[in-house]
Amino acid sequence: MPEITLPIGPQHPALKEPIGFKVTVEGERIKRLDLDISFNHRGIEKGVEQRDFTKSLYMIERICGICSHAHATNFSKGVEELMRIELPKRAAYIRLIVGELERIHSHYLWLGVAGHEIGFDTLFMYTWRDRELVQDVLEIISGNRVNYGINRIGGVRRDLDEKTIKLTLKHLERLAERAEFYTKLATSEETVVARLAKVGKLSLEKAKSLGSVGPTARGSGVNSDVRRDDPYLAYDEVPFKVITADNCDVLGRTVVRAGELAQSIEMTRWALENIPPGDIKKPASRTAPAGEVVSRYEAPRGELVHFIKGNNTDKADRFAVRTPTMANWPSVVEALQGQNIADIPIVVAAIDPCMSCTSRVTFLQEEESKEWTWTWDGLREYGIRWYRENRGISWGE
Amino acid sequence: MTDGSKPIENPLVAVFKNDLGSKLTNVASPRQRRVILEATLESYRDVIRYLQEKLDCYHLSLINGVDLKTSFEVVYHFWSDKNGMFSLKVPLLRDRPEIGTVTDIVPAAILYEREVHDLFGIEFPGHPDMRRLLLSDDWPPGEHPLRKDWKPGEKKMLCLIKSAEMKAAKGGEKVA
Repeated sequence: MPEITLPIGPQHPALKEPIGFKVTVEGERIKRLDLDISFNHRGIEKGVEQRDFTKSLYMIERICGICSHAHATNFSKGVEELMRIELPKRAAYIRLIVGELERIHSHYLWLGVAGHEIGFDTLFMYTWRDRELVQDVLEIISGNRVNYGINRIGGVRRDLDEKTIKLTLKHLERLAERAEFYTKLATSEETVVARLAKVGKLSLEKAKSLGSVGPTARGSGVNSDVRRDDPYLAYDEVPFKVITADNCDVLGRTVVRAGELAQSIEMTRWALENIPPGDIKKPASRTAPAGEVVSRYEAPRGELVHFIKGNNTDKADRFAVRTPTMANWPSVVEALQGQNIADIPIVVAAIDPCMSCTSRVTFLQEEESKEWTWTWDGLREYGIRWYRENRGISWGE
Repeated sequence: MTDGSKPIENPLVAVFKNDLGSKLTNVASPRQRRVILEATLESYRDVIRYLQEKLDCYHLSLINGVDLKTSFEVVYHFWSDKNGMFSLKVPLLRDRPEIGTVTDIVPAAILYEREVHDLFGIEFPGHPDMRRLLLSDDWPPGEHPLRKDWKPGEKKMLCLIKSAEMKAAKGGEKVA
């Protein structure tokens, strides 16, 4: 049977963010996969070099709309390490609580998306309804449903009062009940198991050598979690278990996330009940001394790394980000080999990819240096011409 | 947890000095679970092998470039569950930004090297698939946005499309 190359994306119904796949198939079987992730480079690393630490913090929070707190916390703790500020205990607990609530909302969101990709839309409706509870709690704590803005360099912006703690604990009870239900569902519901087991195989050795992180790695038996192995904030005080599964397939990744839901709920409850009194912020200088810091954080999707280089000014000399999704792409290419075309959406979704969507493109004309923005018709016309000239695809015009 | 104390005494620093000697030009440990190493173009592969074999660094966290204005630096960050994070810095000449690929010994490096190549213009001879990763297909060649001497707008090259194409796309609404 001859090999055929199928272009899928960058806009397609399976995923909501722009990514292009070039899939080489033989019949229904995938032989090779090529990824194109170049559709949304926003130049944030360059932008951070030109802004002071406070402004950078808000920009970095917008790297991702789902795990925004992960980026903001990782950057603040890195800059604090550079400035040699010891974070107040209470602030560390508040960051941890928001971080775990964020993980709960992110994993609920993922369970819904996974349900949708396998045609189980009831699960999608259920999880997204339950996710509203977490969103409400986050709004009460931080004032925002997304991009919480709770961090500042040297501490947090808002304190927790008794009323908020009580209300959060009440919501957590309900969430814990639901998490138990989803864990049962992920491990024993027949349609889920039949659709996910043995799909998207990724062996322990491959997961390690390809640099997978987070639930993707733990679903293949890699026993690694930044919160336990490289503790930050108050993770060395809060009791929790690292969930792993040795299924090495999409089912394993689902089981890990469902288990982490329950763990995160328990951790948030423990932290709320044991939060120490005291200050929530320390004064921070505007400038950071010369030096380099590697800051790590266990985001909902896995290990997040920031490299921050200070140079005695109020700006970072170099700020590098490695998001968990970037680390997990090689494992997708591996996991899709030999699979059916119909498995692409769920195997890709199983790493919980996050391409970060919002971007507004401004063009500068070469000779006049005047800014302009695309109109819808102009952009459409350009797109059609580009595909005709570069890919030989004609749209019948 | 951040801590404001001075650099700590990490027993690994002495181990490195003993085992690798002149292959490393600098070793320091700013805090627990962090070691910063510096190697040369001749020795970096030996250091990476040593990290993998002796210190169980199975995970490559990140490769990033740094523009030091007079030179470049490529930094490899390796993680080991037992021993922590090892950041290996390799300095490169400004007029010859080139370092051999490590994809043969660290498969996870495949995308990170492409990213550094894209944004800094550092060459990785031997890389099996060196194409653009983050910048769009029609980004002008020779423009590397994360270099310090690259300023957006300054070179009038911010546009992603050639001016001839732009003139054809009349739908664009001009904003002064």
